[in-house]
Amino acid sequence: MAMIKLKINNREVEVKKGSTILTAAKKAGAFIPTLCHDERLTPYGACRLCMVAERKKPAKLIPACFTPAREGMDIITENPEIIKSVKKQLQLILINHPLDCPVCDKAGECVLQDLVIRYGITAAPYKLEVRHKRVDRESSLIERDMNRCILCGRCVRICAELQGRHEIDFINRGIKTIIGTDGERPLDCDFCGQCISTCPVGALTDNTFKNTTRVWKLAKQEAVCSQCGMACSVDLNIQNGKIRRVTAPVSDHGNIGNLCARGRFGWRAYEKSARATQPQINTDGQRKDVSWPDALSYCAEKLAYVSKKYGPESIAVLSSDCLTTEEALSYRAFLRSELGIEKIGSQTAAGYRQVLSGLLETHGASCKIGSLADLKASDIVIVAGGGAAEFHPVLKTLLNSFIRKEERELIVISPWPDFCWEKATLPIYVNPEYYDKFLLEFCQSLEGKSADGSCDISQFGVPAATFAKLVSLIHSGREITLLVVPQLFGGSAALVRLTSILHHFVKTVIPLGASVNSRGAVTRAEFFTARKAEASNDSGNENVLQKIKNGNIKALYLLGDDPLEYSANPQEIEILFSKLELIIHQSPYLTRSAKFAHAVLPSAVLPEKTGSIIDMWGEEHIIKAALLPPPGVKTDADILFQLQNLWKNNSAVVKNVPANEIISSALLPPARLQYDRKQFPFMMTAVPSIYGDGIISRQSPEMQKLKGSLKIVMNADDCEKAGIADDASVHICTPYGEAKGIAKLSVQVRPGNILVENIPGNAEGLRLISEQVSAVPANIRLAGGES
Amino acid sequence: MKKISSIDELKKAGEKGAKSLFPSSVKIIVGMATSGIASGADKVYEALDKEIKKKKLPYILAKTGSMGMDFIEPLVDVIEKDKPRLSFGKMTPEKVPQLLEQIGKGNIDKIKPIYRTDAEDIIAKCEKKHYLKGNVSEYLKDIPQMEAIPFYKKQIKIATRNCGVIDPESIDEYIARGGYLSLHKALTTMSANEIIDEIIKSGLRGRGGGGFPAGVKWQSCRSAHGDIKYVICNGDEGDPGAYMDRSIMEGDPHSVIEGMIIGAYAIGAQEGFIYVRNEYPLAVANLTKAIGDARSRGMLGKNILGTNFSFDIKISKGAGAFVCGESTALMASLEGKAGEPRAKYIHTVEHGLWDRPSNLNNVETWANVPVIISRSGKWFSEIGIPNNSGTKVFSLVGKVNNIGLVEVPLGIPLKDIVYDIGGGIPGNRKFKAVQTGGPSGGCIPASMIDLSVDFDSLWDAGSMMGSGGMIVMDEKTCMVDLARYFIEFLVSESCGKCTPCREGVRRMNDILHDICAGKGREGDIELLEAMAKGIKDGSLCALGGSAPNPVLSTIKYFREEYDAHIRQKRCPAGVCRALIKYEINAKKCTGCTVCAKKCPSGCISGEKKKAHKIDQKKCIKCGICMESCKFDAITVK
Repeated sequence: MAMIKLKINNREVEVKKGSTILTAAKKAGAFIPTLCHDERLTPYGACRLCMVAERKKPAKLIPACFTPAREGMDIITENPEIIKSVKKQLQLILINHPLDCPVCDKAGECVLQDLVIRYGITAAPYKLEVRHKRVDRESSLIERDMNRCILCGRCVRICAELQGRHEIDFINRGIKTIIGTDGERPLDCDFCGQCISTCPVGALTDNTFKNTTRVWKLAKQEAVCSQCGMACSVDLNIQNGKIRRVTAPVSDHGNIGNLCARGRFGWRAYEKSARATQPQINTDGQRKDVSWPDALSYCAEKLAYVSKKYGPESIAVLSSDCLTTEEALSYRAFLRSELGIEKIGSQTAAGYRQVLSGLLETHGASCKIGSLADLKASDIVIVAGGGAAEFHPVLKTLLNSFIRKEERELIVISPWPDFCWEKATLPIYVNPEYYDKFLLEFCQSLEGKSADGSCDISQFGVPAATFAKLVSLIHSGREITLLVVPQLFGGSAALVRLTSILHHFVKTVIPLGASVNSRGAVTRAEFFTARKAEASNDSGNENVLQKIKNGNIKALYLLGDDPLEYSANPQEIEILFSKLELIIHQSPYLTRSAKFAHAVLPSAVLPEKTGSIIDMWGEEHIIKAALLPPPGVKTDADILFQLQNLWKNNSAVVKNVPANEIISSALLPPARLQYDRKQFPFMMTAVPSIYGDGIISRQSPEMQKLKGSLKIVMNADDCEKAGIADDASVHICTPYGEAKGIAKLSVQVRPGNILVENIPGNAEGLRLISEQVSAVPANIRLAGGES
Repeated sequence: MKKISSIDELKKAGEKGAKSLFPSSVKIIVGMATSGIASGADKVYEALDKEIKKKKLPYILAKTGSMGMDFIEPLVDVIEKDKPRLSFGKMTPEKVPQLLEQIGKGNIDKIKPIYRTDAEDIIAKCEKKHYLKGNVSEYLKDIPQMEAIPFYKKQIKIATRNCGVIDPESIDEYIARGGYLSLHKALTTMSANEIIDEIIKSGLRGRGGGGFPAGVKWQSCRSAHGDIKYVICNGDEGDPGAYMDRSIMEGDPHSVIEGMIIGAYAIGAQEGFIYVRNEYPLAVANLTKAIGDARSRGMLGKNILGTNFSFDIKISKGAGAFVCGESTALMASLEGKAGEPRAKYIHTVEHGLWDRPSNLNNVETWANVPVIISRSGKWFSEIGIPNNSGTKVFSLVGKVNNIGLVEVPLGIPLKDIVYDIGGGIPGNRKFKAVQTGGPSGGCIPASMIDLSVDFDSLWDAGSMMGSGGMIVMDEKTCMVDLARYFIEFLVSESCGKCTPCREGVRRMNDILHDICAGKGREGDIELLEAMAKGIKDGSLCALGGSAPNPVLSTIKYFREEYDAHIRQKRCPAGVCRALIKYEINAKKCTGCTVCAKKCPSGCISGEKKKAHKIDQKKCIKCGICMESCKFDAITVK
C-alpha cells in the first residue's frame, strides 16, 4: 500500500494513501474533537466539529474526518478560527440538548459533556429550547430518548452498515429530524446494542444498566465472551464484584468493538441468581444438599465402582467446550490415565466437531483451517450452510464489512433464507428437503463426475444460471474462504463431504457453530481426535445415546453439557437416563439433566476462571478471572484437583450400589416412521436463534424474553391459505411429535417450508425433530382449531 | 414509427415538421406551458376548439410552450400562409369568437396583436425562415416586429430557442428546427474528445448555479476509471420564483434529451437520468412523451441513429426537496436513499450515482449543448463576455412590469434587465434591490444597478447566479422581512444532516423573526454576522454554506433597516406588522366608508362624509383599508 507523508502540528506522520486527516492526526497524537465519527463506519461529516486548517490557508476550515490526507499537507489542528468554530457548533448543539446530566446514564462518559468542558462552553448566546420528542421506553433492553439525540447518525449507520438491519433511520428532515423506527413502533431487531455502543450522548441507553449506578464507579475488567465460538473481547463493568453491564473495547481483535445481544445483554447468566450454587447428591431417590468433599467422594466412589464393574468403556463424558484449554488438558489426562476413557464427546458443539473431524480425517496435518485474517484477505467467502450469522451474530459485522469493499463475493448456500443469504452477492436457497442431495450433486460436479446437464439443478430450487455462476466463481482462481455451518440437528454428513472436496479449491476453511473453546478442546486437548475407521457422526453423543440404549454405558459425566436440552426425542433420553447407574452433572447451571443426576457439582463460568482459550479463528486468548465465583461454586480445575486427590486416596473402595431397574424399551414412545406424506405437507427445519441456543444464553432472562416460545416461521401465502395471522398461536406436528408455537410470516421463506426457532432447551420443540434428518415433514394448524 | 438511421431520414422528418410549423392553412397556437395555464390558457384553448368545431373552420389548433412573456399570457399565435405570425396577448375565452371572426375577415379590427413575427431565426441551423412572403400588408404595418419590442430586443434565445415556437409533443417540429442534426453530426463526424474540446472551447459554464465549466467536468468524467458511467440531468429546480428549467422541460424537452445523448456519447455513458420534481407534472408528461418518441425514432436505445452508440434515459421524479438540487443529495435520492448531501471532495464525476462516474448538469446546460455542437464552440464563446460566454435564462419576477422568462447574453448590465426588458417598476415606485440566486443568493442594491450580470460579478457583489431567479424589489419591500422569508424557506428545506445548517439557520430564523416582531435586541446584527460565518465555514453542502447569504447581503447593503427595526422599532418599508401602524389622514379622508366596509376586524369607524378613524387596538394590520382607499388617505408608519 502506498504511503504518504504529511505534517500535523509540525509533526511529520506517514499514513496509508486514502487515509483521512483525522487518522493522520490520531497517529500524530493530535486531538481533534468529533461527535459523528466512529472508526468502524464510513465517514459522515455531520457534526462539523473536526475542523482543521492548512497552514497556508489558516482561515479555510476543512473537516478532518472526511478529507483525505494528501502528500505534503501541513495541517494545524487548533488555531483561534478553529476553536471559534468548534465552540459555535457546540453552542448550537446545546440549544436543544437537555442538560439533564444528573439523571443521564451517559454522564461521565458522554462525548458531548467532555467537549463542553474541554472548550469551556459556559454560556450560550442563544435562547435554549426544550423540545419534547418521543422517548421510547417500550423497546426491550434499549431506551431511546430523542430529546438527547444530537442527530450524529452513528446509530443509524452502525445498524445499517455493520449490523445490516436498517432498524432505525432518520425520520422527517431539517429541524424536525428524529431517529426512529417506521411508525414509531418499539424496536424489533437483533438487540445487539451496537447503537448504544456508538451513541456519543445519552440518547440510547442500556435498560439493564439504567439507574443502577454511575459510570465512574465502574471498574472495567477485560474478559472474553463465552456465548459462542467467536470469543469476542468484552469489558465487564464491575462494581463491588457485581457485573453492571458489558461493553466492548474498541480493539484490533475480531469484534473490533462489536458485540451481539448475547454478549452485551446476556450477562445475567453469570449472576448468582441464575446459577447452581450447592453440591447435591441423590441417594435412594432422595436429593440432598451436601458438602463439596461429600459430593466429590460420592462421585469418586461411584466412578470407580462403574469403571471396575463394567470397564472403562462404560463411562461416557460429554463437554460443552466451555473449559479453559488448561482445564481441558487436565481432564483429558485424568480421564485417560485414571479411567481409561479415550474420547470426550460434545453435545452443544456436535456439528462443529463433526465438520472439524471430517476435515482432519481427510486432510490430516495439511488441513487448511483458517483464521480471521484469512477471511478478511479473501476475495470470495462461501458460506456453506444456514444460520452462520445466527450462530455467531458478530459475524454479521464482519461479513457486512467484507462485502462493502469492491469486487468481493459472498456466496451463501443455505437450506433457508438466513441473514447471510439476504446479504449475499450470490444467494442460493436450496429446498431443505433436497439440501443434502444438492450438496452431493455439487460435490460430484466439482469432482467432474456429473456430465453436463445430467442433473436438473432446478429441482433443488436453484436456477441453473446461479449454479453455473457458483461453479465458475469456485474455479475463478481467486482467494476463497469457506465458512462451514453445520445443521442444528440431523447431522451434517453431506456438508462434511462437500467441505472436504471444496478444500481443494479454497484457501482456508473455517468451521462455525463452535462453543467458546471448541477449537482449543479439540486441537490442544484432543477431546476428540478423528480416526479414519470411525464414522464422522461420532463426534456428538448420538452414539452415546445408542450405547446407553444398548446397555453399554452405565455412567455419564456431563462437563457443562446437557443432552436433554439438545437432542431429539427427550422423553426417550429421560427414560434412558434412568437406566444409568451414575450421572454427574457438573455445570454452572441446573439444566434439565440435573433432575436426573446422581451428583450435581456447581462449577464456575468462564469469567471466573484463569487460563486460556482458543477461539474458532484459532486465536489464543489469555484470560484472567474477572469475577469471584459465588459461594459454593468451584472452578472445573478445582473440582478436578480434588476429585483426583480423592481418587488416589480412595483406591477405589467399591461399595455396593443398588442397580437401577432396567426399563423395557417397549415403554419408549413410538416414532411414526411410517406416515402418509399427505398428512405432512410441509417441510420443517430447525434453525438457530440469533439470541442464542447455547446453554449460557438460555440462562439469561433477557435472552429468554427476547426468544419467547417456539417461533414458527412460514411463508406468508401459506399462512393466508391456512388462515394463520402473524403472531397467531399454532400447533406444529411432525411424525415424531407435536408442539405449540407462535407463527411468524415471512415473504422470503418458500411456500411449503417451515422454519422453527428456539428448539434447543425446549422439551416440546425437541420432540419435533429427528437425529437422522435435518428437514422433517410437518403440518400446522391454528391452536384450538383443526387443520 | 420507423427508426431513423440516416441523415436523409432525419431530414425527411424535418421536412414533415416544417410543414406543420409553416402550414398552408390557418394555424392557431396557444401557449400552454404552466405559466400559460395558470393565466387561463387551457380555457382559451377549449373555447377555440369548441368554436372551430362549431363553425367547422379548417383551422389547425395546436399547443406550444412559453415564449417567456408571462405578463401577457395567455398568448395565442396565429399563422396564416405567407403572412407574418401574429401574437395576441391576454386572451380570454370571450375574445375567441372575435379573434376567429377577424381571421376570417383578414383584419385586426377587434383584437390587436402585441407583435408580429415576419421571419424566425433557427439558431441551431443558422437559418432564417420566413413566415412573410412579399411585403407586409398595410393593416399590419403598425404592429411592432417581435425583435423590436423592448422585452425581446436584448434577448438571445439559445437554450429557450424552441419554447413557444414548436409543439413540445412533436419530435418532427423539433427536428425541423435543427433538432437531432447536432446529434447526428456528433455521432457520425466527431470523436468524443472533439466534442469535449468543442464544449471546453465554448466556455459553457454550469447553468445550475455552480458555474463550473461543463467541458472540464465532462473531461474528468470521461477519464474517470470505470466501465459504467451515468449522465444525469438536474431538473430539480427549487428556488422560489424560479421556473427556467420547467419552461424548457415543458416547452422543448427534446433539446435536453439531445444534449444528454451528445454528452453521454462524449463521456462514455450508457444510461442517463432526468431528475425532475413531481410538482412539475407537465414537464414530466412532456419529457416522458419526448423520451418515448425519441426511443421509437431511434434517438434513444440501441444503435442510435444507426450508429454503434447505445444509450437510454429514465425519468426519476423527486418529491420536491430543495436540497435534492444539490448534486450529491440528488444522486442519493436517485439511489432511493434520503436526499442528503455528502462531502464533495470525492468527486461525483469519479464516484457518483451508485459509486460510478457520473456527470450531472442542469437542464439549461444540456439544452445549450446541441447548439454549441452545430454552431461551434467558438461561436458560442463570442456571445456574452470573456469567461462568461453564452446566454442565461432568468425568471424575472417581483415588482417589475414585464414578468417573465428572459434569456440574455451574460455580461448584460442589470439595468437593462430591470428597465429595458422588465419595463421598470410598476406604479413608478423606486427600485430598491434585486435578489438573485434564490434563497442562497443575495441582494444587489439599487446603487449597483449597472452591475454586469455574470457569474463572477454577482459573486463579488455577495450574491450569486444561482439557477437564474431574479426577484425585483421596490421601496415597499422590507429587507429584514425578505431575509426572514428566505431563511424560513431554508429552515424548512434543510435536510438536517449537519449541525450548523440544521441548528444554526434555524436560530438565525428565530432572531430574524424577533427583529421583525419588534423584539430585536442590541447586538443581534453582530450575532447574525458571527453566526453566518460559523454556518458558512461549517456547513457540509452548498445549501448551508450559502444559507446566510440573504442575511449577510441585506445587512451589508441595508444595515440601516435592521437598525431601524432593532433600535427604533420601526419598519421603514411598512411591512413588518408588529412595527407598523395604519392611520387615516383626516385631511384627505372623504368619509366614503369603503375602508370601514372592507375592514375584516371592524376597527374603522366614522360617520359618512366625515373623516374616519382606526382603532389601533383592534387593527390587525392587514393593509386592506390602504389598498381600498381611492384617496390615498391611509398611510402606514
